[in-house]
Amino acid sequence: MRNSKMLKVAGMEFRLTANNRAFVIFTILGPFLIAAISILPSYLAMNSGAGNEQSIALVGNAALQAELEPAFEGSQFRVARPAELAGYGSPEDETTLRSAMQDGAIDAYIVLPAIATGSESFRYVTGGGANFQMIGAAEAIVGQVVVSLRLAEAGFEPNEVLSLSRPPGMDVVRLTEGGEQDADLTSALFTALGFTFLLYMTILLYGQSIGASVLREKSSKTVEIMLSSIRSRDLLVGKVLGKAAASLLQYAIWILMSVLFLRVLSPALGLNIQIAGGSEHFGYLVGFFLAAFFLYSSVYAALGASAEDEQHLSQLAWPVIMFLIIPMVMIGAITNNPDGAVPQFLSIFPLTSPIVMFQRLIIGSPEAWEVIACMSLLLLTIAVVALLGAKIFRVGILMTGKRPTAREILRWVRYKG
Amino acid sequence: MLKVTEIRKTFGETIAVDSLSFENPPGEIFGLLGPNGAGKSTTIRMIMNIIAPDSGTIHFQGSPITEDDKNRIGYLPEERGLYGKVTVHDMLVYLAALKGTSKEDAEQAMSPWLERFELSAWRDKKIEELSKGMAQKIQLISAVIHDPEFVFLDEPFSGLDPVSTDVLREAVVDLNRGGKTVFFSTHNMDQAERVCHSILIMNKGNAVIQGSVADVKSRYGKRSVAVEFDGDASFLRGHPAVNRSIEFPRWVELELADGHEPDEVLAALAGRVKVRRFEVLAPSLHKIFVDELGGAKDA
Repeated sequence: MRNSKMLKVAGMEFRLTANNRAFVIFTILGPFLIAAISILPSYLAMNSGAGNEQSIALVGNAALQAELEPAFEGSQFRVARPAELAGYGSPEDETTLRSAMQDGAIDAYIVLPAIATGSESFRYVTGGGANFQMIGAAEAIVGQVVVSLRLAEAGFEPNEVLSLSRPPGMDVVRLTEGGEQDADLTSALFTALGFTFLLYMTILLYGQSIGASVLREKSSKTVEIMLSSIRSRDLLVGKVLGKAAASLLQYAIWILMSVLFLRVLSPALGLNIQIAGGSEHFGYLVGFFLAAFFLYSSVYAALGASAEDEQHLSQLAWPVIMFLIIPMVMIGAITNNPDGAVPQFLSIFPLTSPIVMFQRLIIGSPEAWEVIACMSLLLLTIAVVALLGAKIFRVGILMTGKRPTAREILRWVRYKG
Repeated sequence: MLKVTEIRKTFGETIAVDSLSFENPPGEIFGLLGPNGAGKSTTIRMIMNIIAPDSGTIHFQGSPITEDDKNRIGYLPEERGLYGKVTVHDMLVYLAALKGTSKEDAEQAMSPWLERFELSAWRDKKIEELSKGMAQKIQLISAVIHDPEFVFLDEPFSGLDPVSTDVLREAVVDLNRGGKTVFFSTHNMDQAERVCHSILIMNKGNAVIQGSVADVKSRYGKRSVAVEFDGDASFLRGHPAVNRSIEFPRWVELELADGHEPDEVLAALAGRVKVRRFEVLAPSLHKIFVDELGGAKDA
């Protein structure tokens, strides 16, 4: 009987969640939205500047200018001819070059010192914001020419020395349980980014949705009539299960959409889009989502029951959101060194582990004991938080009139029945 | 039969209910009365097994009340709310299902109630489209749709217009005539006086007065007279037969002092004012409530 009532609550919660326009819109647009805010910025950052030719001028040391001009050919730089700058004054004068830059005739200029081979650094003057990719490219070209000159001065054959000193490249191969496979690090990075954002957004949205649902039940006074039929704990579990069912439906649709896109649409359109790893990553995704969902839902349900209104709920939820934000803020550090000490800690600590361990499983190589420790701690924490959350929910849901302090909320845990 | 024995509930330092005992005999309408904050809702929540008492016992039909007894009880809470996005039909079926009633039985039970409240046309409309009065009627239906033996109504008429109040009051009386025991909580003494067989007045978590309405009125009621007149009746303030008076320009209500009769007042009025109406008043629960709790009511 108890379970049947709990399932009735779950059924109603599922219906209230899934049977509305916002759910349908987010289900359809969600993957595109997440791709847009996670993968796109990284993709643009990696490819920014490519294809945008910059016009530069060289000033000083005429001999070095003669060496550099051919070196810049074929790069994303175009060296401005003195004739193009004649209208601004002498091309050897920096004031002239600054006027030309202000007019947009050139994007930057490089000041070449008289004794090029002895100089430790050159001056790169740019009019716009610092485009680090372009500065790096210019630095590489100038550096290679100056090093060649230094080698020649020292009596070496520059081409021979450069050829001998060129380091070999690396073909990265990852060892997985299925054997050796080529590591497409870009795919792995984008997969990790996309899935991490998906995980983060859905945990946050569903957590908030549970909190809002409980608060609505409390403020619309529906709760008392519910509690006259069902225990508070069963009401809470029913609500969480209903939301979980709705979220799993959403995930199933997204995974189906992804598979259709990758297997059918992408080859048909001639797009080379891949997801790193295989179906096991979808399994990890759903598994870690569910773990995080139950953990954060329990917390949000307790907060929803404690809150007086939506503003109060937002204030109470801030510390919780912080733990969800940490993996997002640390995403650069985690992707740079997924098996480092900090990612290792964050992938064991239960409030951050669902996201960070999932990231590490895609782009790192966590040890088996780490995965076991992560899951064990996570399950234990879910059990403890759900128990405390249910106690807070039981008391808070009936408390109205004044905003409780954190101390009062904790005291509710000790209240009888 | 509901029997409550020495129940007590505290929230931190606050004593919400303190050693409260009473019985609600089967087939009666029992009124739990008291000012706001007296502990009525906490008492009802304990009886409904929503919260547990710190001590004391609650017996329903001879046994300690359990979770399963909830299916035999209907409950209309003071704080009302239904899911706005759900239709009247689906909401009633859902709440009936939580009481263990099948969809078919719920549909069969809801039709006569919807007809009675002239809400049949709203069966498939969303709750958010209903007026407050309509929603309140739907909520009453939800409390009785599973045909409970016992019905708890917490402030059932609050916020209703007079017409809706009458419709709901008739429904409550009919439920009782149909054999249901009704537990009725209110701070409106006039409603309680018209509807209840017996009452319990609470204040600050304690029972202050309890018994049948007739018994309470005879025990606690003080005799009064109401006089409508032309002239100046202020001299009555110092009259030995008058204990207390509530005065208006052409009307006065006088509480008689012990050992004095209404005739003495009538005799005093004769020749000094023109009496248009003279009425000996039965003591009302309202007056008893004010007299007994007036000084102490700060809960």
